[in-house]
Amino acid sequence: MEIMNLVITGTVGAGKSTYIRSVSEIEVVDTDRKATDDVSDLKQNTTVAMDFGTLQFGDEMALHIYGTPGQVRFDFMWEILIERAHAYVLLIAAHRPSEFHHARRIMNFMNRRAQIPMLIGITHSDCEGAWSSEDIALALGYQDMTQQPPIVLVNAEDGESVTMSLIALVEHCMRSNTAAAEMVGA
Amino acid sequence: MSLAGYLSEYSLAEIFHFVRDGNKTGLLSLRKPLGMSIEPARRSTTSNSDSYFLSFQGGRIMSVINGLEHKTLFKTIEQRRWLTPEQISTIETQLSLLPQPLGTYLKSRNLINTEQLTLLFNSQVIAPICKLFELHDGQFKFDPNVRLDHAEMTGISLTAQEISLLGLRMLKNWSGLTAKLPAPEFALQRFSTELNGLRLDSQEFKVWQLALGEMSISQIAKKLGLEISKVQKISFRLSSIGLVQEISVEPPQPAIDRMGDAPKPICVGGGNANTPMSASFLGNLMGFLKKKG
Repeated sequence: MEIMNLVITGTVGAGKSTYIRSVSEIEVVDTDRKATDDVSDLKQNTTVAMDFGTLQFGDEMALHIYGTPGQVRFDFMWEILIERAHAYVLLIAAHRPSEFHHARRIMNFMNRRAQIPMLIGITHSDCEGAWSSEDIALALGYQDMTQQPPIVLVNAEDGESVTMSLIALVEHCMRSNTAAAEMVGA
Repeated sequence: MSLAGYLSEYSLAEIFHFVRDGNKTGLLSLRKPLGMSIEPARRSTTSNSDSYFLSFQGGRIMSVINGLEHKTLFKTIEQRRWLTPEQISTIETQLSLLPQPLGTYLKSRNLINTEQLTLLFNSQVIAPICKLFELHDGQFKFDPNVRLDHAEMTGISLTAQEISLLGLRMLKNWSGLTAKLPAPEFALQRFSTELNGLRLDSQEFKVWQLALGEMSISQIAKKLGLEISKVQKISFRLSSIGLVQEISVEPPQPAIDRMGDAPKPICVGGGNANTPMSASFLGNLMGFLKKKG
């Protein structure tokens, strides 16, 4: 069985659990608990360990999707999940600039532990006060567009939109594989 | 596309970082919350509105105007009596047509000198900026589609990076930035071995030298004999001007290896992240997703 492990990470309320539910073929295994801290201002429940969903295609191939908790106090789970990941998606809510700093921290954390293809998914881009993806890239520290990972707008509640973001990620994985092969051949 | 929000969500230091990184040109409006008072720094104009307007060109700050008054720089010059009444009336008619910033325009005609120009910039930009960093709850809006007014510019400018460093050094009340300070267990990683012309004070320089991604902030504080909170603030300053980034200290062993022979509580897939997915797998996944989409 060939399995690709994909991690969905991002800030609290960016839509990680929803993203996985929108695309998973199985009932998502979640570890949601009632939020008792500042998070309760944003949503009633929050992920405390992980979410899990799958996409099975063919008899011997599957995509396993793991969602991380957003809060930094659960960062031990980020570590466990990212170390076995083949790629990850960082979800950021475009209308919550207060979270961009935290998103950057998560990204630094992940990139320090795994050099794997990543994609930035911008959610809530239709909300009032939403920043453009170019400006969010700047806020994350990407001054040079050629150095930044693919950035896509995604509606976590819409299966089609989530699927399109996964297609963008797979394309990025293919390009990364090609680039790595060229480097080995050079 | 303009950006708007609250300083409690996105601090002035972060906005300046954003403006510098993007070499942005435009007008940043800051509005104090009702009932909050920021005593304006000594200014020769009498304006004391709830709003400030900061103009940026290519990531550099050009002017700061308090309130919606026009010709504030010109009025300042007038009040200082650096020009004769005849010169005043002649220049006033040209203000809206100035081909260059008012300050450099006057200097090119030997009507004011370099020291006067510097004095104008200090009172117009540096002094109010340092006070604006105290503003934690106001609203901001950055509009890139605004024509900048030459009549309000001295022609001197500072990068948003330089002005941020100045403002954060002068900041006394850090309460609004507490949540943004890096945790003591975080390490700092510098981006470059060069300071790119930035002048750091001795403590900043020492912290920057130790920002190699190996020592935590609390370890740096201990080594330098400084309070942890002091190093956290220095770290925030250095991070805000793009010299370092905060990172988590590298774990000594991967988490899963640390578990040793103990039963693994979580089994995350059967894949090996060191091996990229095969081309055939990715091709099949792509085909599947395209059908699904």
